[in-house]
Amino acid sequence: MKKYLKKTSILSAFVFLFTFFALSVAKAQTSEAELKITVIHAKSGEPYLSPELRPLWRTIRKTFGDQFSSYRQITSKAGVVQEGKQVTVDLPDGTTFEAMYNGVTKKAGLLRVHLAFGEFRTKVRIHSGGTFFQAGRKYDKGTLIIAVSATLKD
Amino acid sequence: MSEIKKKRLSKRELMAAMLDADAGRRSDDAEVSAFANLSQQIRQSVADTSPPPFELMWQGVEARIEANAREAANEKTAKSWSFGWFLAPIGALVIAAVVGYFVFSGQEGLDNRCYVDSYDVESGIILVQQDLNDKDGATVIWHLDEG
Repeated sequence: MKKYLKKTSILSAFVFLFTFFALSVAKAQTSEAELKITVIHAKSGEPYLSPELRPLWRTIRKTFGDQFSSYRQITSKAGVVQEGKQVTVDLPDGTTFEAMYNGVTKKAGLLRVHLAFGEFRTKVRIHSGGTFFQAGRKYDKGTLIIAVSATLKD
Repeated sequence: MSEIKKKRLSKRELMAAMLDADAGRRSDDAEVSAFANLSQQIRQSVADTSPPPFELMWQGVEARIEANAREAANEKTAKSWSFGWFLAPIGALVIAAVVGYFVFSGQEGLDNRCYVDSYDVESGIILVQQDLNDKDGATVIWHLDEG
C-alpha cells in the first residue's frame, strides 16, 4: 500500500508541476491584446448620450463630470493585435489616431500602449480591461474625446 | 413378525420374549431371537440417527464467510488502487488548472488606473488628470492648444 501511495504521490506531483509549468509558459507566450478606440464628440448644450456609449457612461460621467453634457459617438474600432501592432482610426478632422500594443510588463502584468495622434506621442501602461482617455482637440464647437481600452487576450 | 402372528402368543408370552431379548438372554426360541434381532436393529437405527456435527458445520460456514469477506476487501482495495492511479493525476491536473487560473488570470475587477510613462508634443500643453488611489477612475491625457 505504502509503495503504491508513494508512486501515486510522485506521479500526481509531477503532473501538477508539469501543468503549472505549461500554463505559465503558455501565459508568457501570450502576446495578443484587444485594443478598442472610441471617438466621442463631447460638447455642452442639450444633454445627449449615444446609445453605443452606454457601457462607458459610468466612466465618462465620473471622469468628465459637468464639463460636457452631450456625448456623441463618432466612430469606434476594435481589433486584436499582436505585440508591436496597432489599431488606427480616422478622425473627423482628417487626422488619424493610432494605438499600438507593446506587450506586457513582467512584474505587474500591465499592458504597454503607445499612442500617436498628429504630433502628440505618449506611452502608457494600463491594467487589462482598463480604459483611459485622450482629450483636448477642438472639433465642431466641442472637443474630441478618445477612449482607449486594452484587454489581454488568452 | 409373520412368525409372531402365526404362533399367536399370548400377551404375557410376548412380553416375556421381548424382555428376554432386551436383556440379551440367549434363547433358542425363535420368538426371542426375532425380538433380539429387532431390538438390535432398532438400537442400530437410533444410533445411526445421531445429530449431525452442527459445530463442525458452523465452523465451516464461519470460515467461508471470513474468506468471502477477505476476498471482497482485497478486491475493493485493488479496485480503489487501480482507480486511484487514474484519479490522483486527474485531481492534480484539476488543482493545477484552478491554481493556475487564479494565479495567471486573477482579474479582480475593472481597474482603470493608467501610468503615463512619457509624452511628447511639439506645441501645446499636456495635462494628466488622474487619481491613482481610485482604481475605478480613468485617466485623461489632455493635449491643449496654447492660446
